[in-house]
Amino acid sequence: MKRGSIEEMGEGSAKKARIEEVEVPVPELGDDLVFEVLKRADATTLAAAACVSRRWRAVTEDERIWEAVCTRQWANFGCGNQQLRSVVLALGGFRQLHSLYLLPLQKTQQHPAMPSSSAAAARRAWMAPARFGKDEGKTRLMRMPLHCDIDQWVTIFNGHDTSTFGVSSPKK
Amino acid sequence: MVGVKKKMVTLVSSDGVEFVVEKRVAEQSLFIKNALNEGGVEEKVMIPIPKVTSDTLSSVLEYCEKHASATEFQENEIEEWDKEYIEKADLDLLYYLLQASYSMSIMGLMELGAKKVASLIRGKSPQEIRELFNIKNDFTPEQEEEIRREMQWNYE
Repeated sequence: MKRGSIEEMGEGSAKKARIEEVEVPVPELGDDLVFEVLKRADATTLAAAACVSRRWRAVTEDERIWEAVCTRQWANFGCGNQQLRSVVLALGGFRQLHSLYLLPLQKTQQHPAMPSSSAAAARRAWMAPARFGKDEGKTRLMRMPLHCDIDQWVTIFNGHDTSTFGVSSPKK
Repeated sequence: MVGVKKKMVTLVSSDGVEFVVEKRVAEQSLFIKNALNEGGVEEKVMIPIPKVTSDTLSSVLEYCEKHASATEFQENEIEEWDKEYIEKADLDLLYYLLQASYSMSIMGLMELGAKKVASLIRGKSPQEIRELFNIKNDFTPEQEEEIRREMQWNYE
């Protein structure tokens, strides 16, 4: 067979594939096409896709993909898309937003018992109640940079006084 | 400027097979539409389609033909047709269709193909995705471990 196992194929096609074994293997999808595919994938699949290869990894680092995931999940957030976009990007981006906030919310809804790793425990400590009121959403977005790596923190707030965000510091 | 009805164009696949199709069918591809506009050739237009083999092109044209007459059908009929069309493509063809739709600028087909591929990798592990698409794992063990940690929530 030219490629790995394909569940959909019946016995007939498997036989045919053996005859065609000398054929040139299918070329890898270009970055643009991997992008188009992943833009239509859910977050869990994206996380797996990020571990596939360096090229796939690079594609999953595109914020536009995570934006698509986030906006699909909360289609009606109550403020303009552009406005929301600028806020989220300034505060760490859509991937952070999803992994730190949207995913834990989803997980509590599905499985009340949270995973026990320390990272998850830290996230749980920061999890806001599952309500999506407009102002509450904003508050949570503002807390976001507190979870960034120190480098990101410095980049994002370079020249800004963090107290202008008016949120209390996280208790470790 | 607008062609007489049933104006035909000839498309040549990468392996040299000629396909004579109606202009309105071929123009489902923006790549071809632009080529026709630029060329301005009235008679016997021949357009080479690089990197698309005859097998793939014939399937692409099946899609174009249906969508060129989309106005004759109900919207849900087209949707049903699309679904059936993409379901019957095996993984290789799907792959080639996606590539062809991209290089020929057929947005509807690209959307359809990308969605289908996304549905194929849904819920799969990195290793399963690699096997499905014949992708080599080029991470060092350290990098892989780092990524795995970062994406930990996926594996919990």
